[in-house]
Amino acid sequence: MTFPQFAYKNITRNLRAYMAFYLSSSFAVMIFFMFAMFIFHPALETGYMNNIAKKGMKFAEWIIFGFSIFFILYSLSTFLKTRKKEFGILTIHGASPKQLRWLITLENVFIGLASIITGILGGTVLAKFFFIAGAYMVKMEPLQLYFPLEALGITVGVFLLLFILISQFMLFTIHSEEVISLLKGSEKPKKEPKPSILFSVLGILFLGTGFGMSLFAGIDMGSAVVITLCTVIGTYLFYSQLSVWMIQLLKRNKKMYRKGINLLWISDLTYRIKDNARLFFIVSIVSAVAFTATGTLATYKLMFSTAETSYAMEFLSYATNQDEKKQLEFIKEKLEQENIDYQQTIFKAIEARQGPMSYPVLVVSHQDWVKQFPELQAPNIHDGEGIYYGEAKRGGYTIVNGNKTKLLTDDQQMSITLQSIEEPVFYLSDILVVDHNTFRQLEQNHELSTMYGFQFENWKESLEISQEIQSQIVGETFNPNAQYFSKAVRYFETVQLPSLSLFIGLFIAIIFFLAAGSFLYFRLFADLYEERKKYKSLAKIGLSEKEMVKISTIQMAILFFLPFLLAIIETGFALHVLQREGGYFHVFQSGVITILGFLGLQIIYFIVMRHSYNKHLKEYVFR
Amino acid sequence: MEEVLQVKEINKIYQGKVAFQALTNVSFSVEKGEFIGIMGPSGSGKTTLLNLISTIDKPTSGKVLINGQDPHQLKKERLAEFRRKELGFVFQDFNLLDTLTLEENIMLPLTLENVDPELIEEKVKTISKKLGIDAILTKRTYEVSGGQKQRTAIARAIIHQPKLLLADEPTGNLDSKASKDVMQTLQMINENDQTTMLMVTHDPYAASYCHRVIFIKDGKLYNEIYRGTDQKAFFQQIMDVLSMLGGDRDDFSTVRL
Repeated sequence: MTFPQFAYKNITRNLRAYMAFYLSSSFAVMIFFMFAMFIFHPALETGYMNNIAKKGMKFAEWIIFGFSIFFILYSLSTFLKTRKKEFGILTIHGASPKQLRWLITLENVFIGLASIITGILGGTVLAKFFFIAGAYMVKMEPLQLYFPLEALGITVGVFLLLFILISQFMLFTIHSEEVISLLKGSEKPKKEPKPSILFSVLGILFLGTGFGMSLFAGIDMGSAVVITLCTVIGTYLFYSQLSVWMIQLLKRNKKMYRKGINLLWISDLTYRIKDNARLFFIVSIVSAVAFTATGTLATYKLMFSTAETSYAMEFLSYATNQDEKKQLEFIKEKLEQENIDYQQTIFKAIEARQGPMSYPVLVVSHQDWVKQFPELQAPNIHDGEGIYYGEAKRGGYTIVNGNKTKLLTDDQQMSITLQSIEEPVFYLSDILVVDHNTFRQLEQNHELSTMYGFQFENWKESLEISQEIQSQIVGETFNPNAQYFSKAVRYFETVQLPSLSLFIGLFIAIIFFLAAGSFLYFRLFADLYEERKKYKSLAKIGLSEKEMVKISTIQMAILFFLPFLLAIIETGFALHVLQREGGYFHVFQSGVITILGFLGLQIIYFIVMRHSYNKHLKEYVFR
Repeated sequence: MEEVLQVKEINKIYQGKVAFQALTNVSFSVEKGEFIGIMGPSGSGKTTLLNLISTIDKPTSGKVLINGQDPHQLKKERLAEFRRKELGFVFQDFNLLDTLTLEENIMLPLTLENVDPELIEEKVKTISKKLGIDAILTKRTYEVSGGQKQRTAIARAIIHQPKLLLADEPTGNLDSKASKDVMQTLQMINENDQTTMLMVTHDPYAASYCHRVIFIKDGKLYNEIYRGTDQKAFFQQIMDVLSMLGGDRDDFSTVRL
């Protein structure tokens, strides 16, 4: 038997142990590849995405990669831990460190290659499925599957390097151990952890600071980073320290602790607290990211349900505008260039402010208004009366209060009684129609602004010229002398673009949620071997099947729902920050819906996993 | 005398590519308070026999009656209850849970029965004093020696006063001093509490503590010998049967007395 033969036999005859590692690696590759496929998608390469979104996605990709490193490292270390005894035996029989290194590197490259292949295949299938499902959910055209040369290259290159580097790193940890501790390997029981008061206090402080700041502190880039860091560190300390205290409290209550199966699961929890702390930590953070991403996007989606306005394009030129003629010519030229048959509306108006917020409004004479908009059937009004065309409330702020309003211009102030408040006619500005005499009065001291409205069919197709006009009139940011609005641009920004972001966000959320789930899965099945041995010896002294199922259910429930709970709390705070600083208004509602959705998924996952795990246990313990 | 254990005509065939008959028509019975040893060369079916008696495995034919009851007829849940009420187990590799302290390991059968914690504490105290492990109760399994572990396992096996104590090579992992301690502990329990015991062993020295030793060879009963008053003489008798059983004397552990 040559050494490579030995390495080969090692894998093929111990397939079960290698399987878990192989599957988790494949999973990491799959996620990375799916996302890469998405980023390099030709459809996104062209129109849709602006640079910021693109950068964000690249960033997310590297986050996923960082997470993959962690994930693979975690599964490799559990995998090698179960094999420590084997390495000890090899060493004691004279395997040189060089040979061991060769063996492990060989194995890792082999498994790495295999999992890169499966990951890419699985990713392709799942991506297709996700493109369709995602497109359906956010109501956009499904993305086509394509041959992702770039994504392939990056995935293979990055992961091959990762597998080689990680195996070298793991070798380092093995070499530093004595043969004897290798031989005792995983049999050597872990010491009961002792909580440190210092770290516990620090944990409370960090969590408290994180949560407190998210409630009260001003949010900018700096404090956001501080909050995130505090929460992350606090979460880790919470699991590694505070949980020990809690369990000790549980143990102190002997009536409870020594009752039935409690003894078994509580002591087991103590025993594994270190492993669990790490797992809980990862799962909590990853789930919190998934929840927050979805919650934010759900909020985002809800925000864009504004009233329809009737003009495909609006152009508002203030009195100060020098280029009005040129700009108007440009608009018309563009419209004609596209052979668009349009109707134009023009009226003069006075710039003013009104209401409790001093919200800008255009004042129009009744005479003029009725002439331009006979179809609105504006009723007759008298001196000091007006009709308001606009929304009384915007984003939680009251624009028009009651039926009396104070009209402010640069040098005048007058009170107007509103006869009615009607649906908005223009997007660019609210309109206040006043009687002709009042208008005259105002007109004397003010230059007039001009509002142009263009009405035509098939406005969705005018996105390109609209964007050109917009950059001509408004420029990069803002033009104090003129405003321009196009329904096509608005539709693109509020429906198409958010759909895309929602899609991306959903994608990230689902990936992270899957990741959290897979962590739990691999953890459970890595321990299955030891667990069933334990249950078998317990069964000999009279543990019934029902009791075994009960214990494993309790343990699994803790694994599944404790990190979930903390993730919910963290999500709550994150969404609260959004509400406070981002001006999002449906945060609570969408947050609850999101979390309920994830809870539902988690419960289903729990039920499925519990069933399969217990089946494995029963088959071995009670044949 | 009351018969605690009756083994009636049991056969055990392991199905596989080649069916293998591990036990053939084995019958014997054990009376209340008896301490029985079962010996035989490797592969003779000792452990199979013990597994059948301990309800871990089912016989292909024949019956095992414990206190007149056939545990193999019981439903799963009832079987678990039967094991923890009627039987006590001592294993070669102790089978203590690393997650528990020694004390918690001992009380495990009672906590599973939901016995009142105060009563449990009391019982643990008495039993650990009797077995000389009361000073190490709060230690964990990896902090004590093999002999101490085995005595803890014995304490766990007898804390609920089982009708029948089954021991599978209880001295197999122990040195001679620890073996002696463990055997004396078993003997003391047998004498004081009248606990019926059945022990499978390789070790003629351990077997010399029994009242009676049953020998099996190739899955069949071969012989049985009773102990007189003299343990040394009994040990010699056991050695003689073992050499007749075939195999070299070297198959068995050397004389320790």
